[in-house]
Amino acid sequence: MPCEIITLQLGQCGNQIGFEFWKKLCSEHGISPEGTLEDYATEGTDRKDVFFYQADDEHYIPRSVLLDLEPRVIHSIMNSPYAKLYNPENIYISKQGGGAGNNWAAGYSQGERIYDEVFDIIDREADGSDSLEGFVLCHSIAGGTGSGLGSYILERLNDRFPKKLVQTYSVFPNQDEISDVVVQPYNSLLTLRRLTQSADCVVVLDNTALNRIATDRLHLSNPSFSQINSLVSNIMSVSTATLRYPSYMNNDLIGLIAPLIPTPRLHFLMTGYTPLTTDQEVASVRKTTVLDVMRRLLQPKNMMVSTPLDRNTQHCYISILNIIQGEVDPTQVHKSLQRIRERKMAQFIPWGPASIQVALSKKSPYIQSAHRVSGLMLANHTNISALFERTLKQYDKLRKREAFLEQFRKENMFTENLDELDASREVVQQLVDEYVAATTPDYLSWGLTQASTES
Amino acid sequence: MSEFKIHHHVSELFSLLGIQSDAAEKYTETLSESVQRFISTQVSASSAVRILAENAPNPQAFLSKYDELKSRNVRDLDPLVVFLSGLVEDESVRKVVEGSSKLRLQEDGVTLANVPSIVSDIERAAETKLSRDQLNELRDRLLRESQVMHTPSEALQSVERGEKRPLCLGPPIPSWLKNRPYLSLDFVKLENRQEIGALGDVSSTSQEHQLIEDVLSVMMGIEGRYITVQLPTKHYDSPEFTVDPSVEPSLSTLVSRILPLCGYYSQLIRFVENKSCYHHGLVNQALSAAITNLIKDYMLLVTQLEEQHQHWALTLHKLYFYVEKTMAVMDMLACVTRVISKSEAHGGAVLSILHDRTVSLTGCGQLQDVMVFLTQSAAVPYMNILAKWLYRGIINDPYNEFMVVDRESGSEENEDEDLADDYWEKRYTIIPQNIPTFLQVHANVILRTGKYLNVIRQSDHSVVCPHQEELVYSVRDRSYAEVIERTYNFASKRLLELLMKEKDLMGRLRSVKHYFLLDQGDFVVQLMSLCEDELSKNIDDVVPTRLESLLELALRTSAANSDFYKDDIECDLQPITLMTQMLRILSIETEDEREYYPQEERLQLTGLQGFSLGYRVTWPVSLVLDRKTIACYQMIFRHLFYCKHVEKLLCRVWVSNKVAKSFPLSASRTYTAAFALRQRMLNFIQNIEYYMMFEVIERNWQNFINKMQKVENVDEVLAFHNDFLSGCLKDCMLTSPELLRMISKLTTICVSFANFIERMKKYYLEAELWMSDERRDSIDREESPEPAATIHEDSQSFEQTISRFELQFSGMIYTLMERISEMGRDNYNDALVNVIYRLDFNMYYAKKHEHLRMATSPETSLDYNSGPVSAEFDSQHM
Repeated sequence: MPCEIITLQLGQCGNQIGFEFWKKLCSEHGISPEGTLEDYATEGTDRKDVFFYQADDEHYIPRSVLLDLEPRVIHSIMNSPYAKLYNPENIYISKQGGGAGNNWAAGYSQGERIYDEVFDIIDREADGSDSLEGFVLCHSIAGGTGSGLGSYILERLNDRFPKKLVQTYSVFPNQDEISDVVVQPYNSLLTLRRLTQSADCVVVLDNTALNRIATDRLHLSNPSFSQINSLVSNIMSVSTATLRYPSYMNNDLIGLIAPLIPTPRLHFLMTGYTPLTTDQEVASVRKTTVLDVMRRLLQPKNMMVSTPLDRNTQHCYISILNIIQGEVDPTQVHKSLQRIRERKMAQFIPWGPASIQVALSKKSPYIQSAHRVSGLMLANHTNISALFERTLKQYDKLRKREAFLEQFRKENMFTENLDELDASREVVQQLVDEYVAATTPDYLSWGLTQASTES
Repeated sequence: MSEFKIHHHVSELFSLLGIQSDAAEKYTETLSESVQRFISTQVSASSAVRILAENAPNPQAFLSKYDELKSRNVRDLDPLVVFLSGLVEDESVRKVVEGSSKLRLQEDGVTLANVPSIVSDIERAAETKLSRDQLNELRDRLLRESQVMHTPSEALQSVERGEKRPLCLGPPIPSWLKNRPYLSLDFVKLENRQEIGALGDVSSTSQEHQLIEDVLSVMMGIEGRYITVQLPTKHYDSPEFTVDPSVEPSLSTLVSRILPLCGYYSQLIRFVENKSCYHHGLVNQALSAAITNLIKDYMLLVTQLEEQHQHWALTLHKLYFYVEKTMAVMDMLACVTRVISKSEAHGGAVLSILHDRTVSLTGCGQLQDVMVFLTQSAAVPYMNILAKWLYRGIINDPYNEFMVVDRESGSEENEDEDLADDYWEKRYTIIPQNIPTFLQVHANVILRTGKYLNVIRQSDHSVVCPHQEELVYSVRDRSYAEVIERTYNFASKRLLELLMKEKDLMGRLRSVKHYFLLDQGDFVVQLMSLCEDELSKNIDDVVPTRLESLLELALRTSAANSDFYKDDIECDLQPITLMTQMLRILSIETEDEREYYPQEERLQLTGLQGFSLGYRVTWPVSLVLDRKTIACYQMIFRHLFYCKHVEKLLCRVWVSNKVAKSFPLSASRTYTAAFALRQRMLNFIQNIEYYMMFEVIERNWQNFINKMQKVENVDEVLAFHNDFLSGCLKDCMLTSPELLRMISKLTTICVSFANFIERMKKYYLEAELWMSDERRDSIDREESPEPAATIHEDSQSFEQTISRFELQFSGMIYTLMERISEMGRDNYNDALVNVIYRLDFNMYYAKKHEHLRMATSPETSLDYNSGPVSAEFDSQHM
């Protein structure tokens, strides 16, 4: 069984979206909450073994590791109908149970403490797969566990499995509302550094945009966590659709992300999905042709990342991959691409060839949808740097006042100095600069000239 | 007859003759027209004859030869003549033909051996005109080629063999038939005639009486006393009669009016006696029998006349009156038999002659009735053979009379595998001269009906067409046409059902598509990672059994496991690269054939380049998936598989490069050029794959599926499937040696780039990580200049190599794109131009190329203003 992927769910947010993701996968593959195959799903041509393996009694077990420093979310999972789905050995809750207190440093240092136990689980899972292709990590970057423990695990994964791919689904905090986590800018910045240096591909899920989509597009006045999370799980499941329903192309994770990421650092991807619906609202079925779907995917309002318009730089797409599901005539794809090209609906980088790749994927036969065609866009867009810039700005504000730093100083990493914060800021700043440079034709020589002027 | 085939033959002919001329196109047209028999009209033929006669050095000889051939009902004479006139009118061809005629005469000795009989006739007859000979021979070659569909050259040879064989067909003729001349009802040459005096000496009444007696004898094939007979030199001609010259002129004239009747009788009797021999075939025998029946009536007439004569009631006038009507019938019969004998017609050809005659007699009442009777009787054995063929698919044709010939009836059981390949085209073929003209329109349907039945029968089904009824020839109501139509419908429906339902053809094809067209992506990924070690060896070191078991494993562990037909997949290692294979196939028709013969290629060939899948098919699915078709699938597979391999290599480079994200900025930037190049390669290879898979294969597949839903018979299935495959081959750029070579060069560059990076990986990992470690260790300390210098040197050569790769790659991709757009413009190939859309979606290459062009050539830089405009123009065009 090739190309297996192990999912790691970290912290409150990570476990919640992970839970939704597995729920979704189960329903798509016809697997019951207990892990047994439903009667109608016995003759599938799908590949369950990428994300599941079979126990001795043939029931399916997710290749998933659930980690948290506090028991609340995992307990709620264990009280759900899906409790029996997971391998109980793969669930780890810190014995102290106190959580990370929304503190990156606390999460990180607890990671050091529980390293052996966590990596026992991960190693066992890795050994249990024939040819592991990589890890998928779900977490948020604002809290304590997801960001701190997540950062720690990212670094260790990178050391321990240097040839495996590490993809993260990282939830970025909502900028529109005031967060109850005051140190959120610190947490975000420190996590961003690890995401830059230790992850191979980061799918950015911006809570700002998710909330905005929920209210504006889905007309939910007060979107709940589970509604937002179902949006996220949808994206996660579609972005792995080509792995689970094999077709001509993109049948492994590397084939999916390699063309999206030309240079190693620029690996932050935006997503977009259309048509957006919730369970309650099926009435408004729109016309969905391939062109409609592809056109809508290019509209900012459908993006799961909200970025302010930057008039100074000509932001552009580095690469785009559209995963189109449903009944699609291949000629339509071509026509749509041609139309988009003629109308110049998407701006691309000037320093290399770039195109909209379209992967056609099957839909799960077990889920009925009112829409003929649906599409997910994975895009590498330079505009994502705005998100990082925003984080930098907020960080600078706090840092200038030296606010809320005493919690951090309690942990080993920060007892002597705050160099870690400065180093992280530099890395993130460089990332922003690189994204901006990628909008210019001489991106390829950008770093070099800078390096020579530095020396 | 495919247009392609004709085109090929014509171009071959032209190259043989050494002509460089656009005329080839014209001849192709003429030929294909003549094949479709559009120009069988009298007008064009006669005008062509005129032209030829004008040009011939000896018009008389030519015309007489033409008439002779015409009278012998030679097939394709008119198209031949028209074509020849075309040749004569075209100066250039004519000159070349004449020029090379000397040389070609020698070659003719060889080619003549397998030239059908028509031509050798033409050759022999037209010795007076050398150039005409050449033309004839030329045309004949073309004709022969153009008839490939009916009679492939092999078939021709066996036809010849068959023609030599007739002597031994059927039981031998006993020798006493020859030894006893008096067994014949015809005139017998008497050795010694007793001399009798002149008849003129007696009275005119006595003369008349004597003459009547003689005439009655002569009418029955007995030489008279005063009417003598000279037997003709050619057996089909009528004998000549001489009446005693001393007879009164009035009587002599009357007698000479009656005498032709005796000639007809003699001819008919000779025909009957001659054609009753076994080797002339059932049709001739049946015809003879029918004629004998008629002759019986004739004999009755003679007896009645004789009776009257005995009663002294007959005068010559009366006699003439009595036989006049019979004479017309006999005349017609003699004429028909003469044509048949002269052309040595046999089987279906006899029926053609009879039918044509019958039709031409429309409106002649009794005469036509006689002809209908004859044709009907003669057609009985033929119709029986036909019925057996239509109802059972069996040919029972001991004298080679039937229009369909079974090429391998001898070896029926032992050819399960090979049978499939040529089966459809070669096993049963139509012999054009054996098609009776009234069945001409149905010929193809008849052939296919029997073929279908045979296929069904071979898969152990005892099929018999329901509602069998006897086939009877008739001029007016064509009941046989209905029967043919009905049996055809039955057979084609039955076979289609067999293929589609019982043998699940579509399921098979879908399964083939899974594996050969990489539709089942995870299987390929799995296969590739499993077999990688094995396949990276030299092809001679690859262990096929191990490969086989790895393939098995890949099948079991991928989603292909649920495929019902997965066990029919097997490995197939081929000792040549796809490029060479394609080029060899493509160059068969051209001069360059020898050029691509690989000598030492095998030495460097890796298993990967030679790897291909095989597919075991059973009869009758092998009808559709024969070896040739599988070979086409294999070509596409190898192409796609190699692209996938390159993609995998580049992805591996990506994985090994991903470590660079933790390099310090300045260090990682030095690799940016390499990253960008890798990205461009990946972009190229993936877009080529996307294009081939989604825009070519998937689109053609959809078309194919749509067509298959409306399919009505198996030949259509074959045709649609062929269309599908050739469409795929063409649009995947496999059929253009030029494009294929470019793409293969591009992939080679990608592979060597990937290998280079893999080689360098060790160095840069050491260099950079060590450096960054040191940095981490001694953050404050100044970087020591020494390692920096080595790194610099290292990266210098690294950068140079990368830029070399970059140059190669860019150069190649520009040429490729230029060539594609040129080809797209030339022959409006919509599909192909799509590649450019894909490869250069953001017009990176277009802009850069324009930029480069302006930078390199000074003239264009003078035109600086027009530069960007034309770039835009180009881009709009693309």
